[in-house]
Amino acid sequence: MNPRLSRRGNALLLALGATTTLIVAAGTLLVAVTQERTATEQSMVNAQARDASTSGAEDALARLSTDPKFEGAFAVDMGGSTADVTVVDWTDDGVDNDNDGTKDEADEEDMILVTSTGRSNETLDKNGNLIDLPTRHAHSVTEVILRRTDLNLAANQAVYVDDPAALFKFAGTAFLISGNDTNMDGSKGPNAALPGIGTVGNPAGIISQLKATQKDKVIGDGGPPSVAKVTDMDLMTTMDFLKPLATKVFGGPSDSYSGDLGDLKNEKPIVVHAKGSLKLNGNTTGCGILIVDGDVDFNGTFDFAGIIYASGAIRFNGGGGGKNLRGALFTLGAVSGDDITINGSVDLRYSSEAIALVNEQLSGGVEVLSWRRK
Amino acid sequence: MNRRLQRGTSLLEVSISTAILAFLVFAAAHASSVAISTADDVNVRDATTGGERRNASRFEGQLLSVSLSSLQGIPSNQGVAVEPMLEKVDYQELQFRRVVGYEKGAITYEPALGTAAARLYRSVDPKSGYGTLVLENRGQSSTLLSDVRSVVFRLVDSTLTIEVTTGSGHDAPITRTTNLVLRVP
Repeated sequence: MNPRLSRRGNALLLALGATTTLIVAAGTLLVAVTQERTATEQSMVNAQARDASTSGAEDALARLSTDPKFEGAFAVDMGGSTADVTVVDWTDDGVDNDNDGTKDEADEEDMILVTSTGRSNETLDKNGNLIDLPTRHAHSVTEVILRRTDLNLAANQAVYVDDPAALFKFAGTAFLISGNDTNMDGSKGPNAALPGIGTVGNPAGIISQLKATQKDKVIGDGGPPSVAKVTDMDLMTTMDFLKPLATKVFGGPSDSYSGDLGDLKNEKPIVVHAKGSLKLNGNTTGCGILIVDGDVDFNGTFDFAGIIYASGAIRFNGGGGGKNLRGALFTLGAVSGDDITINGSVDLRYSSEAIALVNEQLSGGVEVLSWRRK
Repeated sequence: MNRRLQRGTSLLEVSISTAILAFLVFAAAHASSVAISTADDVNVRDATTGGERRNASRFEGQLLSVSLSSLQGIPSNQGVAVEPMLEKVDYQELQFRRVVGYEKGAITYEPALGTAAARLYRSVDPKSGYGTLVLENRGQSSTLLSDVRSVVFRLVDSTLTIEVTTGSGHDAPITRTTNLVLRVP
Protein backbone atom coordinates (compact mmCIF):
# COMPACT_ATOMS: atom_id res chain seq x y z
CA MET A 1 0.00 0.00 0.00
CA ASN A 2 1.15 3.50 -0.75
CA PRO A 3 2.08 5.03 2.63
CA ARG A 4 0.88 8.50 1.59
CA LEU A 5 -2.54 7.13 0.69
CA SER A 6 -2.85 5.37 4.09
CA ARG A 7 -2.40 8.67 5.95
CA ARG A 8 -5.26 10.36 4.11
CA GLY A 9 -8.47 11.17 6.13
CA ASN A 10 -7.06 10.68 9.67
CA ALA A 11 -7.79 14.28 10.68
CA LEU A 12 -11.36 14.00 9.40
CA LEU A 13 -11.97 10.85 11.44
CA LEU A 14 -10.55 12.51 14.54
CA ALA A 15 -12.71 15.57 13.99
CA LEU A 16 -15.84 13.48 13.48
CA GLY A 17 -15.11 11.43 16.62
CA ALA A 18 -14.51 14.48 18.76
CA THR A 19 -17.54 16.29 17.38
CA THR A 20 -19.79 13.29 18.00
CA THR A 21 -18.57 13.02 21.61
CA LEU A 22 -19.20 16.70 22.19
CA ILE A 23 -22.67 16.52 20.61
CA VAL A 24 -23.63 13.59 22.87
CA ALA A 25 -22.35 15.41 25.97
CA ALA A 26 -24.11 18.63 25.00
CA GLY A 27 -27.33 16.75 24.24
CA THR A 28 -27.26 14.99 27.61
CA LEU A 29 -26.72 18.28 29.41
CA LEU A 30 -29.51 19.92 27.41
CA VAL A 31 -31.99 17.18 28.31
CA ALA A 32 -31.03 17.33 32.00
CA VAL A 33 -31.29 21.12 32.12
CA THR A 34 -34.59 21.12 30.26
CA GLN A 35 -36.09 18.58 32.67
CA GLU A 36 -34.80 20.59 35.60
CA ARG A 37 -36.36 23.75 34.21
CA THR A 38 -39.69 22.01 33.66
CA ALA A 39 -39.72 20.72 37.25
CA THR A 40 -38.73 24.13 38.61
CA GLU A 41 -41.41 25.93 36.60
CA GLN A 42 -44.11 23.52 37.78
CA SER A 43 -42.89 23.79 41.36
CA MET A 44 -43.03 27.58 41.04
CA VAL A 45 -46.61 27.72 39.79
CA ASN A 46 -47.67 25.25 42.50
CA ALA A 47 -46.08 27.48 45.15
CA GLN A 48 -47.67 30.57 43.60
CA ALA A 49 -51.10 28.94 43.68
CA ARG A 50 -50.65 27.85 47.30
CA ASP A 51 -49.47 31.31 48.35
CA ALA A 52 -52.33 32.95 46.47
CA SER A 53 -54.94 30.79 48.19
CA THR A 54 -53.38 31.51 51.59
CA SER A 55 -53.27 35.24 50.85
CA GLY A 56 -56.93 35.20 49.81
CA ALA A 57 -57.90 33.51 53.08
CA GLU A 58 -55.81 35.99 55.08
CA ASP A 59 -57.50 38.85 53.22
CA ALA A 60 -60.91 37.46 54.18
CA LEU A 61 -59.83 37.22 57.82
CA ALA A 62 -58.66 40.82 57.75
CA ARG A 63 -62.02 41.93 56.35
CA LEU A 64 -63.91 39.88 58.96
CA SER A 65 -61.83 41.28 61.79
CA THR A 66 -63.06 44.79 60.94
CA ASP A 67 -66.54 43.73 59.82
CA PRO A 68 -67.66 40.41 61.37
CA LYS A 69 -70.86 40.53 59.29
CA PHE A 70 -68.92 40.54 56.02
CA GLU A 71 -70.23 38.06 53.43
CA GLY A 72 -69.83 37.61 49.70
CA ALA A 73 -67.18 37.00 47.08
CA PHE A 74 -64.15 38.96 45.98
CA ALA A 75 -60.99 38.45 43.99
CA VAL A 76 -57.42 39.24 44.96
CA ASP A 77 -54.93 39.93 42.16
CA MET A 78 -51.33 39.30 43.13
CA GLY A 79 -49.78 40.00 39.76
CA GLY A 80 -49.34 36.65 38.08
CA SER A 81 -51.58 34.76 40.43
CA THR A 82 -55.08 35.39 41.68
CA ALA A 83 -57.36 34.23 44.46
CA ASP A 84 -61.14 33.90 44.22
CA VAL A 85 -62.52 34.15 47.74
CA THR A 86 -66.01 33.45 49.04
CA VAL A 87 -67.22 34.14 52.57
CA VAL A 88 -70.40 32.29 53.57
CA ASP A 89 -72.28 32.71 56.84
CA TRP A 90 -73.72 29.34 57.85
CA THR A 91 -76.31 30.95 60.11
CA ASP A 92 -78.94 31.34 57.41
CA ASP A 93 -77.57 29.83 54.20
CA GLY A 94 -80.24 27.10 54.01
CA VAL A 95 -77.60 24.34 53.97
CA ASP A 96 -76.87 21.56 56.45
CA ASN A 97 -73.20 22.57 56.76
CA ASP A 98 -72.32 20.34 59.72
CA ASN A 99 -74.06 17.22 58.35
CA ASP A 100 -76.33 16.63 61.33
CA GLY A 101 -79.53 16.46 59.29
CA THR A 102 -80.70 19.95 60.24
CA LYS A 103 -80.29 23.20 58.37
CA ASP A 104 -79.25 26.44 60.02
CA GLU A 105 -79.72 25.18 63.58
CA ALA A 106 -78.00 26.61 66.65
CA ASP A 107 -74.78 24.69 65.94
CA GLU A 108 -74.34 26.62 62.70
CA GLU A 109 -75.06 30.02 64.19
CA ASP A 110 -72.17 32.48 63.90
CA MET A 111 -70.13 29.97 61.89
CA ILE A 112 -68.40 31.26 58.76
CA LEU A 113 -66.75 29.37 55.91
CA VAL A 114 -64.01 31.08 53.89
CA THR A 115 -63.02 29.36 50.65
CA SER A 116 -60.06 30.79 48.78
CA THR A 117 -59.04 29.32 45.42
CA GLY A 118 -55.57 30.45 44.38
CA ARG A 119 -54.71 30.18 40.69
CA SER A 120 -51.41 30.52 38.89
CA ASN A 121 -51.48 30.82 35.09
CA GLU A 122 -55.08 29.65 35.05
CA THR A 123 -57.84 31.49 33.24
CA LEU A 124 -61.53 30.76 33.46
CA ASP A 125 -64.15 31.46 30.84
CA LYS A 126 -67.31 33.36 31.73
CA ASN A 127 -68.97 30.09 32.82
CA GLY A 128 -66.19 29.35 35.26
CA ASN A 129 -64.61 26.60 33.18
CA LEU A 130 -60.85 26.33 32.96
CA ILE A 131 -59.46 27.47 29.63
CA ASP A 132 -56.78 25.05 28.49
CA LEU A 133 -53.62 27.09 28.06
CA PRO A 134 -50.28 25.69 26.86
CA THR A 135 -48.53 27.02 29.96
CA ARG A 136 -47.78 25.37 33.25
CA HIS A 137 -50.62 26.11 35.64
CA ALA A 138 -51.88 25.13 39.07
CA HIS A 139 -54.55 25.92 41.61
CA SER A 140 -54.90 25.41 45.34
CA VAL A 141 -57.89 25.71 47.67
CA THR A 142 -57.75 26.92 51.27
CA GLU A 143 -60.80 26.38 53.46
CA VAL A 144 -61.12 28.16 56.79
CA ILE A 145 -63.93 27.66 59.27
CA LEU A 146 -64.42 30.56 61.68
CA ARG A 147 -66.72 31.38 64.56
CA ARG A 148 -67.81 34.83 65.58
CA THR A 149 -67.04 35.45 69.21
CA ASP A 150 -69.64 36.96 71.45
CA LEU A 151 -68.42 37.88 74.90
CA ASN A 152 -70.73 37.87 77.86
CA LEU A 153 -68.29 38.11 80.72
CA ALA A 154 -69.60 38.93 84.16
CA ALA A 155 -68.34 39.19 87.72
CA ASN A 156 -70.02 38.30 91.00
CA GLN A 157 -67.32 40.00 93.10
CA ALA A 158 -64.31 42.26 92.68
CA VAL A 159 -61.71 39.57 93.43
CA TYR A 160 -62.48 35.87 92.88
CA VAL A 161 -60.29 33.14 94.27
CA ASP A 162 -61.11 29.56 93.34
CA ASP A 163 -59.93 28.10 96.64
CA PRO A 164 -61.56 28.99 99.99
CA ALA A 165 -58.36 27.82 101.70
CA ALA A 166 -56.29 30.27 99.68
CA LEU A 167 -53.40 31.95 101.45
CA PHE A 168 -53.58 35.74 101.41
CA LYS A 169 -50.81 38.04 102.42
CA PHE A 170 -52.32 41.37 103.36
CA ALA A 171 -49.62 43.90 104.26
CA GLY A 172 -50.37 47.31 105.77
CA THR A 173 -53.58 49.24 105.37
CA ALA A 174 -52.93 51.16 102.16
CA PHE A 175 -55.06 48.83 100.05
CA LEU A 176 -58.73 48.70 99.16
CA ILE A 177 -60.74 45.85 97.67
CA SER A 178 -64.20 47.07 96.80
CA GLY A 179 -67.27 45.29 95.52
CA ASN A 180 -69.10 48.62 95.24
CA ASP A 181 -69.71 49.35 91.57
CA THR A 182 -67.31 52.06 90.47
CA ASN A 183 -67.12 53.74 87.11
CA MET A 184 -63.82 54.07 85.32
CA ASP A 185 -63.60 57.75 86.27
CA GLY A 186 -64.02 56.85 89.94
CA SER A 187 -67.67 57.87 90.23
CA LYS A 188 -70.35 55.54 91.61
CA GLY A 189 -71.54 52.90 89.18
CA PRO A 190 -75.14 51.88 88.48
CA ASN A 191 -75.11 48.31 89.80
CA ALA A 192 -75.73 47.00 93.28
CA ALA A 193 -72.73 46.24 95.46
CA LEU A 194 -71.06 42.82 95.15
CA PRO A 195 -68.70 41.12 97.60
CA GLY A 196 -65.17 42.49 97.64
CA ILE A 197 -63.71 38.99 97.71
CA GLY A 198 -65.60 35.93 96.54
CA THR A 199 -64.73 32.28 96.87
CA VAL A 200 -66.46 28.97 96.21
CA GLY A 201 -66.62 27.69 99.80
CA ASN A 202 -66.69 28.95 103.36
CA PRO A 203 -65.02 32.38 103.38
CA ALA A 204 -64.05 32.15 107.07
CA GLY A 205 -60.52 31.07 106.24
CA ILE A 206 -59.95 34.18 104.17
CA ILE A 207 -61.59 36.51 106.70
CA SER A 208 -59.34 35.13 109.43
CA GLN A 209 -56.29 36.28 107.50
CA LEU A 210 -57.35 39.92 107.74
CA LYS A 211 -56.07 41.81 110.76
CA ALA A 212 -58.54 43.96 112.64
CA THR A 213 -57.15 47.12 111.04
CA GLN A 214 -57.51 45.62 107.58
CA LYS A 215 -61.10 44.44 107.70
CA ASP A 216 -62.55 47.75 106.59
CA LYS A 217 -60.25 47.63 103.56
CA VAL A 218 -62.39 44.92 102.00
CA ILE A 219 -65.74 46.55 101.36
CA GLY A 220 -68.88 45.83 99.40
CA ASP A 221 -71.92 43.63 99.87
CA GLY A 222 -72.15 42.27 103.42
CA GLY A 223 -68.97 43.93 104.58
CA PRO A 224 -66.72 44.95 106.04
CA PRO A 225 -64.98 42.71 105.55
CA SER A 226 -66.89 41.91 102.39
CA VAL A 227 -65.83 38.33 101.81
CA ALA A 228 -68.52 35.91 100.67
CA LYS A 229 -69.24 32.57 99.09
CA VAL A 230 -70.08 32.98 95.40
CA THR A 231 -71.01 30.76 92.46
CA ASP A 232 -68.25 28.39 91.33
CA MET A 233 -66.70 29.50 88.06
CA ASP A 234 -65.05 27.35 85.41
CA LEU A 235 -62.08 29.65 85.03
CA MET A 236 -60.01 27.34 82.83
CA THR A 237 -62.80 27.04 80.26
CA THR A 238 -63.28 30.80 80.22
CA MET A 239 -59.56 31.39 79.85
CA ASP A 240 -59.26 28.80 77.07
CA PHE A 241 -62.12 30.47 75.23
CA LEU A 242 -60.51 33.88 75.48
CA LYS A 243 -56.92 32.96 74.63
CA PRO A 244 -57.42 32.67 70.86
CA LEU A 245 -58.70 36.25 70.85
CA ALA A 246 -55.40 37.59 72.18
CA THR A 247 -53.71 40.16 69.98
CA LYS A 248 -50.76 40.53 72.32
CA VAL A 249 -49.06 37.32 73.42
CA PHE A 250 -46.17 36.72 75.77
CA GLY A 251 -44.48 33.42 74.90
CA GLY A 252 -43.51 32.40 78.43
CA PRO A 253 -42.41 30.61 80.47
CA SER A 254 -41.45 33.85 82.24
CA ASP A 255 -41.87 37.31 80.76
CA SER A 256 -41.41 40.86 82.00
CA TYR A 257 -43.17 43.87 80.54
CA SER A 258 -43.61 47.58 81.03
CA GLY A 259 -45.86 49.73 78.84
CA ASP A 260 -49.33 49.71 77.39
CA LEU A 261 -51.67 46.73 77.30
CA GLY A 262 -54.44 48.22 75.18
CA ASP A 263 -55.36 51.89 75.20
CA LEU A 264 -56.72 52.93 78.57
CA LYS A 265 -56.90 56.63 77.73
CA ASN A 266 -59.08 56.08 74.65
CA GLU A 267 -60.83 53.03 76.14
CA LYS A 268 -59.71 50.66 73.38
CA PRO A 269 -59.44 47.21 74.97
CA ILE A 270 -57.38 44.27 73.74
CA VAL A 271 -56.92 40.68 74.89
CA VAL A 272 -53.45 39.93 76.27
CA HIS A 273 -52.27 36.38 76.87
CA ALA A 274 -49.13 35.43 78.78
CA LYS A 275 -48.21 31.79 78.20
CA GLY A 276 -46.39 31.61 81.49
CA SER A 277 -45.63 33.85 84.42
CA LEU A 278 -45.65 37.60 83.87
CA LYS A 279 -43.93 40.43 85.71
CA LEU A 280 -45.31 43.89 85.05
CA ASN A 281 -42.66 46.39 85.95
CA GLY A 282 -42.27 50.14 85.64
CA ASN A 283 -45.31 52.01 84.46
CA THR A 284 -48.00 49.81 82.94
CA THR A 285 -51.43 50.91 81.83
CA GLY A 286 -54.00 48.82 80.10
CA CYS A 287 -57.55 48.16 79.04
CA GLY A 288 -59.14 44.84 78.13
CA ILE A 289 -58.56 41.29 79.28
CA LEU A 290 -55.29 40.03 80.72
CA ILE A 291 -54.88 36.24 80.85
CA VAL A 292 -51.83 34.79 82.59
CA ASP A 293 -51.02 31.06 82.52
CA GLY A 294 -49.08 31.26 85.76
CA ASP A 295 -48.12 33.79 88.39
CA VAL A 296 -48.45 37.51 87.80
CA ASP A 297 -46.39 40.13 89.64
CA PHE A 298 -47.34 43.80 89.70
CA ASN A 299 -44.16 45.61 90.62
CA GLY A 300 -44.42 49.18 89.38
CA THR A 301 -47.27 51.57 88.74
CA PHE A 302 -50.25 49.73 87.31
CA ASP A 303 -53.50 51.17 86.00
CA PHE A 304 -55.92 48.79 84.26
CA ALA A 305 -59.58 48.71 83.28
CA GLY A 306 -61.07 45.33 82.47
CA ILE A 307 -60.70 41.79 83.67
CA ILE A 308 -57.62 39.89 84.84
CA TYR A 309 -57.47 36.08 84.84
CA ALA A 310 -54.53 34.17 86.31
CA SER A 311 -54.05 30.46 86.81
CA GLY A 312 -51.34 31.09 89.42
CA ALA A 313 -50.53 33.51 92.21
CA ILE A 314 -51.36 37.21 92.12
CA ARG A 315 -48.75 39.43 93.73
CA PHE A 316 -49.24 43.16 94.13
CA ASN A 317 -45.81 43.98 95.46
CA GLY A 318 -45.12 47.11 97.50
CA GLY A 319 -43.22 50.11 96.20
CA GLY A 320 -43.02 51.46 92.70
CA GLY A 321 -46.34 53.31 92.69
CA GLY A 322 -50.04 52.59 93.00
CA LYS A 323 -51.84 49.63 91.50
CA ASN A 324 -55.36 50.28 90.28
CA LEU A 325 -57.86 47.89 88.73
CA ARG A 326 -61.36 48.81 87.59
CA GLY A 327 -63.28 45.68 86.64
CA ALA A 328 -62.65 42.30 88.21
CA LEU A 329 -59.87 39.88 89.01
CA PHE A 330 -60.02 36.08 88.92
CA THR A 331 -57.41 33.58 90.09
CA LEU A 332 -57.12 29.83 90.51
CA GLY A 333 -54.38 30.34 93.09
CA ALA A 334 -50.73 29.41 93.34
CA VAL A 335 -49.35 25.90 93.15
CA SER A 336 -47.44 26.63 96.36
CA GLY A 337 -46.97 29.61 98.65
CA ASP A 338 -49.22 32.63 98.97
CA ASP A 339 -52.08 32.79 96.48
CA ILE A 340 -52.66 36.52 96.67
CA THR A 341 -50.28 39.16 97.96
CA ILE A 342 -51.63 42.64 98.61
CA ASN A 343 -48.83 44.97 99.59
CA GLY A 344 -48.60 48.74 99.26
CA SER A 345 -51.03 51.09 97.59
CA VAL A 346 -53.44 48.68 95.87
CA ASP A 347 -56.91 49.69 94.70
CA LEU A 348 -59.06 46.87 93.28
CA ARG A 349 -62.64 47.85 92.46
CA TYR A 350 -65.52 46.10 90.77
CA SER A 351 -66.61 48.13 87.75
CA SER A 352 -69.63 47.12 85.67
CA GLU A 353 -68.72 49.91 83.26
CA ALA A 354 -65.25 48.46 82.58
CA ILE A 355 -66.67 44.94 82.15
CA ALA A 356 -69.37 46.22 79.78
CA LEU A 357 -66.72 48.08 77.78
CA VAL A 358 -64.72 44.88 77.36
CA ASN A 359 -67.82 42.87 76.39
CA GLU A 360 -68.99 45.42 73.86
CA GLN A 361 -65.73 46.24 72.19
CA LEU A 362 -64.17 42.79 72.11
CA SER A 363 -67.29 40.97 70.91
CA GLY A 364 -67.67 40.40 67.20
CA GLY A 365 -64.19 39.13 66.48
CA VAL A 366 -63.64 35.86 64.69
CA GLU A 367 -61.91 32.75 65.94
CA VAL A 368 -60.23 30.28 63.58
CA LEU A 369 -61.55 26.75 64.17
CA SER A 370 -60.10 25.00 61.16
CA TRP A 371 -57.58 25.84 58.42
CA ARG A 372 -57.15 23.33 55.61
CA ARG A 373 -55.59 23.34 52.20
CA LYS A 374 -56.70 21.01 49.43
CA MET B 1 6.64 9.91 -8.95
CA ASN B 2 3.23 10.40 -10.48
CA ARG B 3 2.07 13.98 -9.78
CA ARG B 4 -1.38 12.72 -8.88
CA LEU B 5 0.19 11.01 -5.92
CA GLN B 6 1.85 14.26 -4.87
CA ARG B 7 -1.59 16.01 -4.52
CA GLY B 8 -3.32 16.11 -1.12
CA THR B 9 -1.73 17.26 2.10
CA SER B 10 1.87 17.43 3.01
CA LEU B 11 3.15 16.15 6.36
CA LEU B 12 3.56 19.73 7.52
CA GLU B 13 -0.07 20.54 6.68
CA VAL B 14 -1.29 17.41 8.44
CA SER B 15 0.81 18.28 11.49
CA ILE B 16 -0.50 21.83 11.65
CA SER B 17 -4.12 20.82 11.17
CA THR B 18 -3.74 18.03 13.74
CA ALA B 19 -2.28 20.48 16.22
CA ILE B 20 -5.15 22.94 15.64
CA LEU B 21 -7.72 20.14 15.90
CA ALA B 22 -6.08 18.81 19.05
CA PHE B 23 -6.17 22.29 20.58
CA LEU B 24 -9.83 22.67 19.66
CA VAL B 25 -10.70 19.22 21.01
CA PHE B 26 -8.88 19.88 24.29
CA ALA B 27 -10.46 23.33 24.56
CA ALA B 28 -13.89 21.86 23.95
CA ALA B 29 -13.26 19.01 26.38
CA HIS B 30 -12.05 21.47 29.00
CA ALA B 31 -15.08 23.68 28.45
CA SER B 32 -17.35 20.64 28.73
CA SER B 33 -15.57 19.57 31.89
CA VAL B 34 -16.00 23.03 33.42
CA ALA B 35 -19.64 23.10 32.33
CA ILE B 36 -20.34 19.68 33.83
CA SER B 37 -18.54 20.65 37.03
CA THR B 38 -20.51 23.90 37.25
CA ALA B 39 -23.76 22.09 36.52
CA ASP B 40 -22.90 19.61 39.25
CA ASP B 41 -22.24 22.44 41.69
CA VAL B 42 -25.51 24.07 40.72
CA ASN B 43 -27.30 20.76 41.21
CA VAL B 44 -25.79 20.37 44.69
CA ARG B 45 -26.84 23.90 45.62
CA ASP B 46 -30.24 23.35 44.11
CA ALA B 47 -30.59 20.07 45.95
CA THR B 48 -29.83 21.92 49.18
CA THR B 49 -32.32 24.74 48.64
CA GLY B 50 -34.69 22.42 46.86
CA GLY B 51 -34.43 20.05 49.80
CA GLU B 52 -35.40 22.88 52.12
CA ARG B 53 -38.34 23.74 49.89
CA ARG B 54 -39.41 20.12 49.72
CA ASN B 55 -39.02 19.70 53.49
CA ALA B 56 -41.02 22.86 54.15
CA SER B 57 -43.69 21.76 51.70
CA ARG B 58 -43.82 18.26 53.22
CA PHE B 59 -44.06 19.56 56.80
CA GLU B 60 -46.57 22.22 55.84
CA GLY B 61 -48.73 19.61 54.16
CA GLN B 62 -48.69 17.51 57.32
CA LEU B 63 -48.94 20.23 59.94
CA LEU B 64 -50.87 23.15 58.42
CA SER B 65 -54.15 22.05 59.99
CA VAL B 66 -52.66 20.97 63.30
CA SER B 67 -54.40 22.16 66.43
CA LEU B 68 -51.97 24.05 68.67
CA SER B 69 -53.66 22.76 71.79
CA SER B 70 -53.19 19.16 70.61
CA LEU B 71 -49.40 19.41 70.40
CA GLN B 72 -47.49 17.04 72.63
CA GLY B 73 -43.92 15.86 72.59
CA ILE B 74 -41.09 13.93 74.14
CA PRO B 75 -38.40 16.37 75.29
CA SER B 76 -34.94 15.97 73.81
CA ASN B 77 -32.53 14.20 76.16
CA GLN B 78 -35.27 13.40 78.66
CA GLY B 79 -36.60 9.89 78.59
CA VAL B 80 -39.72 8.79 76.79
CA ALA B 81 -42.56 10.49 78.66
CA VAL B 82 -44.95 12.49 76.49
CA GLU B 83 -45.98 15.92 77.77
CA PRO B 84 -48.06 18.81 76.42
CA MET B 85 -45.69 20.86 74.29
CA LEU B 86 -44.18 23.78 76.17
CA GLU B 87 -42.84 26.93 74.59
CA LYS B 88 -39.11 27.21 73.85
CA VAL B 89 -38.41 23.62 74.83
CA ASP B 90 -36.67 21.20 72.43
CA TYR B 91 -38.54 18.00 71.65
CA GLN B 92 -37.33 14.90 69.83
CA GLU B 93 -40.81 13.64 69.01
CA LEU B 94 -43.97 15.51 68.05
CA GLN B 95 -47.50 14.23 68.55
CA PHE B 96 -50.46 16.06 67.07
CA ARG B 97 -54.00 16.05 65.75
CA ARG B 98 -55.30 17.97 62.76
CA VAL B 99 -58.59 19.83 62.74
CA VAL B 100 -60.32 18.59 59.62
CA GLY B 101 -63.75 20.09 59.82
CA TYR B 102 -66.90 20.86 61.75
CA GLU B 103 -69.43 18.05 61.99
CA LYS B 104 -72.62 17.80 64.03
CA GLY B 105 -71.86 20.87 66.06
CA ALA B 106 -68.31 19.98 66.99
CA ILE B 107 -64.80 20.31 65.67
CA THR B 108 -63.58 17.05 64.14
CA TYR B 109 -60.00 15.91 64.57
CA GLU B 110 -57.80 13.52 62.65
CA PRO B 111 -56.79 11.24 64.33
CA ALA B 112 -60.04 11.35 66.28
CA LEU B 113 -60.01 12.21 69.97
CA GLY B 114 -59.71 9.05 72.03
CA THR B 115 -57.39 7.41 69.53
CA ALA B 116 -53.60 7.62 69.35
CA ALA B 117 -52.28 10.97 68.11
CA ALA B 118 -50.19 11.17 64.95
CA ARG B 119 -46.43 10.98 65.63
CA LEU B 120 -43.47 12.54 63.88
CA TYR B 121 -40.15 11.16 65.07
CA ARG B 122 -36.70 9.93 64.07
CA SER B 123 -36.41 6.17 63.78
CA VAL B 124 -32.97 4.56 63.79
CA ASP B 125 -32.16 1.32 61.98
CA PRO B 126 -30.08 -0.67 64.53
CA LYS B 127 -28.12 -2.42 61.78
CA SER B 128 -27.09 0.48 59.59
CA GLY B 129 -27.32 3.18 62.23
CA TYR B 130 -29.10 5.42 59.73
CA GLY B 131 -32.07 7.45 60.86
CA THR B 132 -35.27 8.28 59.06
CA LEU B 133 -37.97 10.83 59.83
CA VAL B 134 -41.16 8.85 60.22
CA LEU B 135 -44.79 9.94 60.26
CA GLU B 136 -46.98 7.45 62.10
CA ASN B 137 -50.71 7.89 61.83
CA ARG B 138 -53.53 5.44 62.51
CA GLY B 139 -51.13 2.51 62.71
CA GLN B 140 -49.41 3.25 59.41
CA SER B 141 -45.88 4.57 59.06
CA SER B 142 -44.40 6.51 56.20
CA THR B 143 -40.91 7.84 55.75
CA LEU B 144 -40.72 11.58 55.14
CA LEU B 145 -36.92 11.93 55.02
CA SER B 146 -34.02 9.50 54.96
CA ASP B 147 -30.49 9.70 56.40
CA VAL B 148 -31.71 11.91 59.24
CA ARG B 149 -29.02 12.56 61.85
CA SER B 150 -31.18 14.52 64.28
CA VAL B 151 -34.53 16.27 64.53
CA VAL B 152 -35.69 18.96 66.95
CA PHE B 153 -39.22 20.35 67.33
CA ARG B 154 -39.69 23.68 69.09
CA LEU B 155 -42.73 25.92 69.66
CA VAL B 156 -42.49 29.69 70.04
CA ASP B 157 -45.78 31.61 70.12
CA SER B 158 -47.76 29.98 67.35
CA THR B 159 -44.73 29.07 65.27
CA LEU B 160 -43.52 25.49 65.16
CA THR B 161 -39.85 25.19 64.24
CA ILE B 162 -38.52 21.91 62.88
CA GLU B 163 -34.74 21.49 62.64
CA VAL B 164 -33.67 18.46 60.65
CA THR B 165 -30.03 17.51 60.15
CA THR B 166 -29.40 15.11 57.28
CA GLY B 167 -26.29 13.52 55.82
CA SER B 168 -25.92 15.15 52.45
CA GLY B 169 -23.81 12.44 50.86
CA HIS B 170 -21.70 15.21 49.40
CA ASP B 171 -20.18 17.40 52.10
CA ALA B 172 -20.84 17.92 55.77
CA PRO B 173 -24.31 17.18 57.19
CA ILE B 174 -26.88 19.84 56.40
CA THR B 175 -29.28 21.28 58.98
CA ARG B 176 -32.49 22.58 57.50
CA THR B 177 -34.91 24.68 59.53
CA THR B 178 -38.59 24.94 58.73
CA ASN B 179 -40.84 27.47 60.48
CA LEU B 180 -44.57 26.89 60.33
CA VAL B 181 -47.20 29.27 61.65
CA LEU B 182 -50.01 27.21 63.14
CA ARG B 183 -53.31 29.03 62.89
CA VAL B 184 -55.69 26.60 64.57
CA PRO B 185 -55.88 27.02 68.36
